[in-house]
Amino acid sequence: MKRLFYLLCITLCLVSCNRKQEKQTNENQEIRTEKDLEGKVVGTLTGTCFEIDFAGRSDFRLVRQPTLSDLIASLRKGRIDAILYDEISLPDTLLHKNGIKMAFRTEKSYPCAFACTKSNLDLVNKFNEFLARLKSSGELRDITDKWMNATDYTNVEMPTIQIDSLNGEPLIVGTSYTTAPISYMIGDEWYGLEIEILNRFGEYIGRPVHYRLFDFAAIIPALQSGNIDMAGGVIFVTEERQRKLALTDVYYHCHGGFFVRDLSAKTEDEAPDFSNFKESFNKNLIVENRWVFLARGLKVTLEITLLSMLFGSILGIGLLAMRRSQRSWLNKTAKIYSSILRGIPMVVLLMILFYIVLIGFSGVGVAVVAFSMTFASSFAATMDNAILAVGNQQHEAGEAMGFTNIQILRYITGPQALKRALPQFKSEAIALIKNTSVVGYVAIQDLTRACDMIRARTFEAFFPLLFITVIYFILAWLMGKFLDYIFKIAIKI
Amino acid sequence: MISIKHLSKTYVNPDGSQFEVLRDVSCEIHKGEVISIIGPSGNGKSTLLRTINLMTKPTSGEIFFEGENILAKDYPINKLRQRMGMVFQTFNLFEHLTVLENVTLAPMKLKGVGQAEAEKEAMVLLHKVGMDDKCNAMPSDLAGGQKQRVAIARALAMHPEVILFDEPLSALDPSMVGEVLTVIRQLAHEGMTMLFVTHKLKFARDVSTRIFFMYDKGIHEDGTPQQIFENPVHSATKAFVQQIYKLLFVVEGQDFDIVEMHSQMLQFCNKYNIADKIEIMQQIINMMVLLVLSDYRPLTVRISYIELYERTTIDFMIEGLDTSPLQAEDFDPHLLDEVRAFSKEIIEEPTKRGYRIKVVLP
Repeated sequence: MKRLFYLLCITLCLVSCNRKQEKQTNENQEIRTEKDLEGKVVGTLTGTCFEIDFAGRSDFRLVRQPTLSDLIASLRKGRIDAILYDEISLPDTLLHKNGIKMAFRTEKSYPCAFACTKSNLDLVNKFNEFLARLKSSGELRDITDKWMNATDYTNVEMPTIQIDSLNGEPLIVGTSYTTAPISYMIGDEWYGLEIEILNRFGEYIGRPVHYRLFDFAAIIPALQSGNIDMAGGVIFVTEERQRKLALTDVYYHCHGGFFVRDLSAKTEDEAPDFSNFKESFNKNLIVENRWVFLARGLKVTLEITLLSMLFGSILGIGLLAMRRSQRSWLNKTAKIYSSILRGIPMVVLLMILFYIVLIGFSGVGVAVVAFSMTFASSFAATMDNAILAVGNQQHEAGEAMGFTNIQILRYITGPQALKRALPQFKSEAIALIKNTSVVGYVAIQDLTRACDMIRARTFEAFFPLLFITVIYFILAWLMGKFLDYIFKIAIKI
Repeated sequence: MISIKHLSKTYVNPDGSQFEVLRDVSCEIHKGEVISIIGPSGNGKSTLLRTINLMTKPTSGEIFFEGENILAKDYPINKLRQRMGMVFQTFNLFEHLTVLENVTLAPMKLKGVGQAEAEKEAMVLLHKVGMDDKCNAMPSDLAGGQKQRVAIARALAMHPEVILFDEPLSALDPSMVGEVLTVIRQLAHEGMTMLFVTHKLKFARDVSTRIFFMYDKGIHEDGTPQQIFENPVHSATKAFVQQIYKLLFVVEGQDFDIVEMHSQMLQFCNKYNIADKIEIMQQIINMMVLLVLSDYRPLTVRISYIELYERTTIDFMIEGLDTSPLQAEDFDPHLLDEVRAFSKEIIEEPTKRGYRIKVVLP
């Protein structure tokens, strides 16, 4: 608890520093036209058309960030002066609540469509057929108007679809959007304009639709590697995309917009206000059952951690046997394996497995494989060193008594090595928990990603981050206790 | 029981250079024999012992155990090792197990003996080596001699047909050699086949029925202790077994470097494993040089150690003197009382060079 208290103190200090910074930037002149952007910093989403269309502009500097909530937080903190984004993702209600307004639209409008791979033209044709019907019946306009004009996103009516009646193979759709009104989650359920269109399409072709969440930049690779059937999330039709992918007909035309701080609006103070803790707690966890994100994220994080430890340990024992083998080629193989894994960043390994090697695996499956691989490597290295520390003499005694190498490990050197390895092992396991926070890259909604999703709905950074900080901290502490217990048993056996 | 034929062993260093340790060694070992392998360091004593249970693989040659070639490809080495006990210089007890568990581990895990039965037998063996009252102690709580006795009980628990001892006494404090020796003697008396690699010639002479003298990469001389120690055939054997180790220094004036002298003595004692003698040695030399013979300079002091008999003597030579300084008129005989108390014997004798007082240590 004491440590937690210190942590809080440090965070508060940082926050108060931030406040000063905010005041400074607020004094800047308001941006109204493109000319006002001179010398400013404009943020946009990684991998969007805006990034391409506005890159290389000499009058302002373009920076890229992975999610909309990051962009909004940056704008409010004054790290950037404007956000360049599509206008449908940032409706007035959302803007108003966050003290942001649109300064002006881009001249160019962008057609939005869904994307499939070229090998899946069938699906595209079916969708176009479906969209044509929707257009001719005027339903598309109704749906679009409904979502664009909604004021309370928790209460928009979605058509009910009997998923049980859909007996076709699930249609896997990837999206990067967790913001209303395009696509967003309340508890377990997906809502939004795109979701409604896709759900109706699913009903039309008799296939239930499943959604997976990716970073925007990761969607097209996921599509190409076959992890998803269809990509959504405000995909603009561009020439390059048309060359590489099969795009459906356009369902919406949208302009880009430059969004800036609304200096006249009374902004909600982003700095944590502890007198209002109850309200923030309510807003970030209770409303729309947002705690469900955290609970499910926690479950996923635990699942990945524990399974990776289990499989990693099993694989690690194999690696250890190889490292300690008399045969030099086994030795070398194990060493090469370890040094390769040591040299690959976790995120890169995850993406290699997800997009190239293990196509068709679920995200969690890929994460378990990736973390098992690295955990096995560190497990083997830790145990090998611990066994070396036990010394060769007892090994020799066991050998002279007629024990096999495996028996010596099992009865003599292993138990002693375990005892020596415990501290190192603990820190590896805790590092594993923390490293799982990168699995968001392969469409897994873990604890960190759950925090992102809450932030995408509330546009608040401090409380969601504080919650997951506390949760990670408790997880690490529990992991330490758990390993103490496991090792106690293991040494006794 | 064991027959070794044309055995050779060459180690290859990591840099590719070769180092030959054994060359064409052949011998027969019969049931019930107690064999000591002696010889100067670096002549393959340990290597020969360790090839018998294949802890070291020979480069060429054959080893037969009960008529079977243990170097044959499909020979079950682990089964062989279960029939041969091994005791190490460094004890090598399993540090995480109690004394009792150290003894029961192999019978339970390798022979499938039940826990109750294994423990019962272990207690009998621990009683035999005098360690039954420490059965629940951890190895780290034991002294060296106790550890080695447990190691012997551990080897006995598998009912071995032969036990290989790799310098079992070398790492022991001299005061603890006796207790281990007692156990080994008892085993010899019971007819256990044993092989020892040892530096202790007296031990080899007293315990063994047969001695291998290893020299020049092979068994240079093989015979009974009587033959090897009293009538060695080869000159190398003779030189080795009758070797006398000496340390000499001359005391010239009153202000000689006594610290330097003590440090040389310590090195000498450590080198020949007689560190237990160092205190008595220092006491006697201090008293003789500084009190008894303080008027006689130059004084030559010589420490000699005969390994075979484990006899240490200190000679004090006063050159050019022909009468005993201890009989001189102004000599106080009480000065010698303490020296007498420390030593086994004091011998005075005139020589051609001068007068010599020989103090024999116990």
